[in-house]
Amino acid sequence: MDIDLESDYLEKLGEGDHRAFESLFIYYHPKVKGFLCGFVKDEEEASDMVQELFFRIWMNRKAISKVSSFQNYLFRMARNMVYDYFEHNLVKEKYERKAREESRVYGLDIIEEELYARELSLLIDMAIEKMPTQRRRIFIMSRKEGLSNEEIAVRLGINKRTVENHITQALSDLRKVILCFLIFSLKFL
Amino acid sequence: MANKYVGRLIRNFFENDFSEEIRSRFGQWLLSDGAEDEKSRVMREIWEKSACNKKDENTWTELNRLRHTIERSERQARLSQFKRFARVAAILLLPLLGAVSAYFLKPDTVRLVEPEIVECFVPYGEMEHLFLPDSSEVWLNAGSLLLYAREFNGETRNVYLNGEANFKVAKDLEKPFIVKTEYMDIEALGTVFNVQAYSDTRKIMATLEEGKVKVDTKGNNARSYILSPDEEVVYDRATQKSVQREVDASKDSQWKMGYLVFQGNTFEEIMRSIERRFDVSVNYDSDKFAGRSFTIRFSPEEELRQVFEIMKVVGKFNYQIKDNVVFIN
Repeated sequence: MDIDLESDYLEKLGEGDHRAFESLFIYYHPKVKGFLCGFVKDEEEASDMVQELFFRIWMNRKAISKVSSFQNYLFRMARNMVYDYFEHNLVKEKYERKAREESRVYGLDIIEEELYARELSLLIDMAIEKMPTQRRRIFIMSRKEGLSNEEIAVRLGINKRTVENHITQALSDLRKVILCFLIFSLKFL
Repeated sequence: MANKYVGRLIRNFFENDFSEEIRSRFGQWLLSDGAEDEKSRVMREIWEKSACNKKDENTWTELNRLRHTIERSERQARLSQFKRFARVAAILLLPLLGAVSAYFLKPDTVRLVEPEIVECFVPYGEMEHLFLPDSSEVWLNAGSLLLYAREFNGETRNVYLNGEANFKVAKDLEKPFIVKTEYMDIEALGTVFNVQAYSDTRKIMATLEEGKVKVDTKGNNARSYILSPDEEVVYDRATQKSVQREVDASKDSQWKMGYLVFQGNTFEEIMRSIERRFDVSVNYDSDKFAGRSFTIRFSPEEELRQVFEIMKVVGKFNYQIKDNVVFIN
């Protein structure tokens, strides 16, 4: 939004001008909603959060009208709402232990890499989750369950060559994620 | 080195969907100590990229919702009827908003000069009657918002509705009249129909009295219907499914004359209508009235207290009215 126009709206907002408030709402609503939706992954929840955010802005309009950049302020509010959401809305204990186990599974116990073990295991798990069903199933059977390619082929009733192709593809997916500058002793390299 | 991960992790998370487990672990990681600056920097980058001009009907629906929330809180704070967030049903001109007009115009009729958008907002407790630029007649029920171009210059006559309206559309075979709501679009040539599309009720309905309309529902189970008189399309937001059925259409538009008409409605639907009509809040335990439906009609002269005197017998409860709040026990 044009800087001068925004200053003008801000000033009017401070005076309780609801048209100015609504103009700001109309302009920034899609941005705020898109941002929140990307993190909370639930449109209804994001809608409620946007309502809450702008409601607070109206309630604090006098103070907010004095900020130097409304967009910066808006961003900080939105970012903090994302933090609060994660703070209060997700089941923590259940997954905390699992995360530590993951690091061990992938053999990430070189000292310096331990610092990034959590990030790395998250990135890896995200990549695995994004894989097509069959590839993911085969990869998990191979790496997590420790089955040989032949055993997998038998269990799934497919060609051993097919299994090998899937695994090659899966590794390629993961390498893209990890990038070549990381050195660690993963079992499959 | 950690910084590279931070960027990837956050961007990757933002752009895709993940299981509850991944979301939980991501959340924990985001909140954990370490690389706070980088995390914030990446989030700022994502923020910058988040589209500003992706406006659609949702923005208007959300604006309407916010208005009612603010109005309600301001009233509760002051208990004074004098200052309202948005005064009586006001017809106001919005400043030129590029994306809004793009929304109203079809791509092939883009004009150099954008139309001015007229907005009609009806607060709770009120009703409004107005004429559109083509002399179509519109009745707007309490808690509704209607947007339309000052002049219908495009190939179609478009209006946007959030709430309830009854339309008597002026006949124009060259220019279809289209009512856009969040979940369905209704297209007519010249006809009389009712649309109920509130943000806070489960069912969205378009009911035809005279003429012919086409109804297009949106979303996952998008369908197209052609309605004949005394037929309606009902879209259920919970199931995302729609149906076409026969009704007595005249009952659906009696609100125009001030009647409150309920046919097999839930207690919740009735209370919502009462809240909008009389601009009050109703407090009750919804479990007590679950599964019950009511068919009842209130005349225009009947005031809040009379309405509740009758509801009390039919619904078997007691109530108390204090300022603008009704307490049901």
